[in-house]
Amino acid sequence: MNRFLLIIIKTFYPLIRKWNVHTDQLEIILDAKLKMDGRRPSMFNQRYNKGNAKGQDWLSMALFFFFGLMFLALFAAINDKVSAFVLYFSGWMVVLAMTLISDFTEVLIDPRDNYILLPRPVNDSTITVARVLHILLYVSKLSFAFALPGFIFVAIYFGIPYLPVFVLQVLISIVLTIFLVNLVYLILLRVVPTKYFKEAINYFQIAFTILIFGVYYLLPRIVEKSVVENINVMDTPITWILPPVWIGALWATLAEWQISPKSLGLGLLALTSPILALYAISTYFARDFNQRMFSISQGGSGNSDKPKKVKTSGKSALSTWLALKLTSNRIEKAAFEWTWKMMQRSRDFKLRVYPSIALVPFFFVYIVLQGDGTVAERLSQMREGHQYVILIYLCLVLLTTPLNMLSYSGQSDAAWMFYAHPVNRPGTIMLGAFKAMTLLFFFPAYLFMFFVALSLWGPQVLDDFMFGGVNILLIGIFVASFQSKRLPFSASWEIQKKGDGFVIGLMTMVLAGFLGSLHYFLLTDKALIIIGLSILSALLFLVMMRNYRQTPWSKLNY
Amino acid sequence: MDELNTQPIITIKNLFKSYGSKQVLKGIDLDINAGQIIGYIGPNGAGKSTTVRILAGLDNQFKGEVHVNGINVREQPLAVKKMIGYVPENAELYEVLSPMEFLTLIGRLHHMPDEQIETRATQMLQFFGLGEHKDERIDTFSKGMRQKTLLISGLLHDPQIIFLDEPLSGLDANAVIMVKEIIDRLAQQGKTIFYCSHMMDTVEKVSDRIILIGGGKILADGTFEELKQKEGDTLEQLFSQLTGETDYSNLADDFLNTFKD
Repeated sequence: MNRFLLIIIKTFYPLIRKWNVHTDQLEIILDAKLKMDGRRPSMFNQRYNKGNAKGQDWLSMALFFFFGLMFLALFAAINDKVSAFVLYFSGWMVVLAMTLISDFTEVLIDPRDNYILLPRPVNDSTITVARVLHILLYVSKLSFAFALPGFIFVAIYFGIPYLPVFVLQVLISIVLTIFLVNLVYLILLRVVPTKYFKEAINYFQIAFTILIFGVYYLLPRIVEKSVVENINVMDTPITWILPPVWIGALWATLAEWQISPKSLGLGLLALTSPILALYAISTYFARDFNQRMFSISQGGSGNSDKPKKVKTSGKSALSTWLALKLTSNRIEKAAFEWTWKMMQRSRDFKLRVYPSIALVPFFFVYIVLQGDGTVAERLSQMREGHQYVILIYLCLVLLTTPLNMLSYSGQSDAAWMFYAHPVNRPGTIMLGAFKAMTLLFFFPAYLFMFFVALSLWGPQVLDDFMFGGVNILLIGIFVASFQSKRLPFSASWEIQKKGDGFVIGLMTMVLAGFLGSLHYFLLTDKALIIIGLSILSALLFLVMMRNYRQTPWSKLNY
Repeated sequence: MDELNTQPIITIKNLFKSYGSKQVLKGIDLDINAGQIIGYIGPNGAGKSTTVRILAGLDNQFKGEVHVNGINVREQPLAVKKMIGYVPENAELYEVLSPMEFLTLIGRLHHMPDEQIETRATQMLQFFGLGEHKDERIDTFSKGMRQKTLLISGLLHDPQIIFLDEPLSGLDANAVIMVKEIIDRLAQQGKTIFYCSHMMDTVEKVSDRIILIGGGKILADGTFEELKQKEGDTLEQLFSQLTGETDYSNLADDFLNTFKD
């Protein structure tokens, strides 16, 4: 595949040479970069084995082919084919943009270029063109994989003469997506200090992931099937600002010959916008872009940003106060405060935990909206049937997600300090970490959910939330005690991927299912029994915590 | 002081260590007295860091007897860890912490009172020129600044025995001078320093006794003056004579000949 792409590039060598590019060097650089792409995990493939990873690019292409196939379902669900195209290209542009933001942050901010290429006799034009072509080739591969099912579908369903229109739509969507991603980068580069650019990109990804999942789960609930079937996107003027609508309008004009000022105008936008976008990228956006990217790849040292100071003023910090109140010895206290800071500041940890946690409110709304009747009727049904108990046990995610990630870190080698210093029982550190995690992630969100439930269903939720909360804590400490025991942030993410997640997940589900069912089916009307059982669960939780604290080095997996 | 110097504080008897089928240490015997600065040198892969890891109680998969201050390292690693300071080679740090936070954690692991940790860490950071950076995240630090933080973490709790594995890595000239002085003063206080390094000139200057290992065995052991009488004028010459190639001049010529193609 790479060889084929390089041959295609070769046909443009006479033109490329005119830009003062050394094509022999260009070929070597591109070849190396494409090889590295094949060995780099993409955002859609995190199950990646260091050392023997090959064909990652093929895997990405297979995934994009699958996405392309999936999105074709829109043509079966929606009667208006122009609207189907609009949604098809919306999905495609989102997926491509996500990939570009995720994968190309790494490619664009690749410091290896500075260490490996810049000291060699390779001129600037060659490096710049190599970078641009690299992105172009990467996008081409993914676009080809995504568009292939659509290409076959258009050929069969509409006929071969319609294929050029589809290809044109795909090309426009690619250019506009690259433009929009550039725009995001540019805005972030202007707004966010260079030093925190990568972090900002990560938060952007987190927010986007949450949004996509939210839309995926909630939209089908909110919008009725008949509405989807008869949707006509172009009839709503507000949608005209969206590029996929212009691309859809192109189909209306060139394929369906809908000649109206609306479709002609939007179609014209589809044709002209890529040219304007390319002009904007080459003139306005490219200005100081490379310099800023170089600065980021150097760790932001080229920028005048002051290094970020952390709050260490100690006693007034919430974590210090909580550690003081909730831990039983100095080592546990130290572990509590350290874990709290690590969880708040570690980018890789936040990237893995925050999206799952942020989905809880979406599921909350999803469950409320599920079923017949208006929202008010559903809320009333849930109060009478105590169905909100399901929502309580949903909050288990708030505890188990960070718990499953707590042992892992991109800086796991730094855990040497626990082995090199006199720590009597690692269980003390693990319990301190467990408490910090519970306080930071579970309690605030659970309290929030409680107050939401209280406002919706009244004081009857009080005992249920108490019992549910203690049960969740019990499940949490149970899982912590029986999963592979490791010190916090002491194992690499590679180990996490090969870990015992399935067994633990199953165990969590069984426990949650048992306690949740017991609660929902037998106890919802028995407040006194619930309070009694809550005390019992709390006592059991305390006993298990004591036991967890006693974990010796010999039980540790390290 | 004399009395201190005659008491072996570290005793290694017939130490063997393998990684799989590869034998790294093949019978090391050593007695180290308190208050000595031991320069522990050897080529790459000779087993220097392995010896230090065993002495620091980090690895109990070995054959032989190892005692630190009379304590059996295999049986009571925790007791050993309480009295030693350890600065590993190329160690990672949790970079999202500030040096102050990192040192607070280390101090607490040694059960030091918070006030003492704060005062001592602040002063030590100040000495190494990191006072202004004590609340900045380590991920903004240069290699030298990280190494200084690591060095402080090994000394913070005022240990009796200090294991330093390439402690000068990444440090600037001023910091190197300062570390050498600190090592010297610590030894004067009766502390034992076990110093692993490739930097012959530093080892030559700071060590009371130099131990050269190669092929998993001790090849030479003595003061610099004693070793010089036996093998050569400099430690570098001694090193190359005992650990491998001696004719580097011919090797360099051969290397340059590769350009004549």
